[in-house]
Amino acid sequence: MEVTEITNWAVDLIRVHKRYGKIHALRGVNVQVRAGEIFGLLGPNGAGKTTLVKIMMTVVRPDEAHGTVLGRRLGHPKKLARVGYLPENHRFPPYLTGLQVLDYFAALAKVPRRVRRQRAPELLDRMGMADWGNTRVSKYSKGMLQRLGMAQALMNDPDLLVLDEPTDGLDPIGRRDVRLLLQELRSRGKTVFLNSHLLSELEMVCDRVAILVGGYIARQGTLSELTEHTVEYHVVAEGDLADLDAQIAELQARRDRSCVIVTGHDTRRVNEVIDLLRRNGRMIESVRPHRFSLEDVLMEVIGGGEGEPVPIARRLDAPR
Amino acid sequence: MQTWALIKDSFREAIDRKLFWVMLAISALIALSMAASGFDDRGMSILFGYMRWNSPDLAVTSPIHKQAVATILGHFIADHFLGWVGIGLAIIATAGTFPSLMERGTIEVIVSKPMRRWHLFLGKYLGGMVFVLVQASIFVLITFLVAGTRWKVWLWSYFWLIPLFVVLFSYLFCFTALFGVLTRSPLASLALTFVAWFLIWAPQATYGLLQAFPPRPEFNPVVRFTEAACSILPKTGDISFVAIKLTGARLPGDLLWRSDSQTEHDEFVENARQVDEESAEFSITRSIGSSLAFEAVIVLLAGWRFCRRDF
Ligand SMILES: Nc1ncnc2c1ncn2[C@@H]1O[C@H](COP(=O)(O)OP(=O)(O)O)[C@@H](O)[C@H]1O
Ligand SMILES: [Mg+2]
Repeated sequence: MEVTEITNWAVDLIRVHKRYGKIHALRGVNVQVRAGEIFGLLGPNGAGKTTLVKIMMTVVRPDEAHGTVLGRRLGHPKKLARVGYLPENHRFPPYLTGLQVLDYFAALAKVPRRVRRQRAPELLDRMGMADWGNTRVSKYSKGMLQRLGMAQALMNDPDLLVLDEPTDGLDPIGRRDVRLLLQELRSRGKTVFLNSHLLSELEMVCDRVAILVGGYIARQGTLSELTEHTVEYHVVAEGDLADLDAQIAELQARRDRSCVIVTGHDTRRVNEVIDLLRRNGRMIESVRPHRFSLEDVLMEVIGGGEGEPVPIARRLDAPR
Repeated sequence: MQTWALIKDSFREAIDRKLFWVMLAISALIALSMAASGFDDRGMSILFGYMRWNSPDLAVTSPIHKQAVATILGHFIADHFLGWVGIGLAIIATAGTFPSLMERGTIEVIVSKPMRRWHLFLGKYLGGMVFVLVQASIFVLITFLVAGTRWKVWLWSYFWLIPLFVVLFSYLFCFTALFGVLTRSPLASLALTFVAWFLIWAPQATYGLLQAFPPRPEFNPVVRFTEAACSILPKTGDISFVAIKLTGARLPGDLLWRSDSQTEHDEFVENARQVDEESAEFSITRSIGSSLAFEAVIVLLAGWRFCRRDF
């Protein structure tokens, strides 16, 4: 059964399943990426991020998968000409030089020879490796290989760039360079699909994020969408508030020493808590809204509750 | 363009692994040792003229001279050198073709390129063949030139050895590809290919023995089994036979004939006619065709596995 339709999604993955023998690596994943955004797939090691990307890139065959990549049926080799891919832990044939690597892989991507000749040195230069083009990759450091891998993924001037842990092995400066590069690509209308187990990487550049845990997408949305429904207010008063516990509980708030925590955006309840404290003659030191960081969301998803995380079973509606 | 890129990569890899140069050096060495001997109007010399014998039998004017050279090229070099040493070297040189293609971290990039996996697999297969084709061409060309300049015989039919060698190599390369895809290890695929080679050779050798020394009737099942195995498996042994036939070489025994008397000469001609008759019964098309069919099955199997697997 084909569930394929023309959509505005750059990537539209529907009900992706993959088993490796007994391991059920993906259990019905739905991921939608808008054209022109930087999308982050976040999840702990072993969550299935690499597997999902490999299915997108036809490296791994799914047990079940529907949807499209750049408007073509998933797994269609033609469209891959418009996609750039940097796999996790990639390595290049050690007997090739940097320029030869770029030329070889771009030739396989059907980039015309003249374009390859021109673009390869340009990209090396862009990656700050202009002097290394004629050195064999066996002499490259981890960081240089990573940058060469990025250049390789950009050789066909892709509309969609798929990066699996792109900052792996990079020092802080290298990480910043990657970030700047991704932002530059976005400003040129490219779509970026980024895998990472490092939250801070994604938080800084991504427009939208999906959290993958145990083969399910547990959350998906813009950063503010993911964090907004989990606002807390912290009302800090002087002294111990233990004697007020019963009344605090009545207001559906909880207490952490001298801080009363109200979950949700309900400012009326916050005021009720303040009233309660004032009525009892307590000094209020501060009232602070506390927005959950993505990390809090991630922790909640990964660690929250026993058993399996709640999957997002439904695919998102098409944009616009 | 993609196919060309794959072929080019096969060469770069082979050149990097020095085997390309080792094989070239071996070819050069053989050509050099051939060039050390020479024939002219008066007789022959060895060690670049250091020693020489003058005799009309050895001179280029001798009626058997051309035949003798053809035998050295078409029988000794083709069968013993190319057919065994050459094929062995070619298998060693190409054993890494598929394992290195399927190197973890590299294959992910390659299979995500806009080409079908079958294209990729066959392109790489072709890459291995082209490598061997180039090596064989170089070898045949330089030994042809040596035979022409030093031995004064320009044996054009000698060039048949190039396609024959590539065909013979391909009979075994399908196994290298299959085992390479299955094991992802150059060493394992090398070892297993040699095992396959032995298993292909054994029934043919047995068949030859059974022809020479027909066994008692109770061994008929063995005979039938051997015959069946020979007819299904690639006929590696036939290639040297074809080489002898196409280059006009004779078995060495025939060369012991000397041009002293007319009767002996007639005997020689008669012998040669019999050999020709025997080889006329033999069908090159059937031999090579059925072998290629077997090869195609193995290639399909290897390619199917390559196309189905996850990386
Ligand atoms: N080739 C494979 N064979 C068997 N299991 C695999 C294979 N690749 C991945 N897995 C398993 O699938 C799960 C997801 O792995 P992966 O997609 O690499 O996760 P991530 O990239 O999020 O760390 C893991 O439990 C991993 O052990
Ligand atoms: Mg991973």
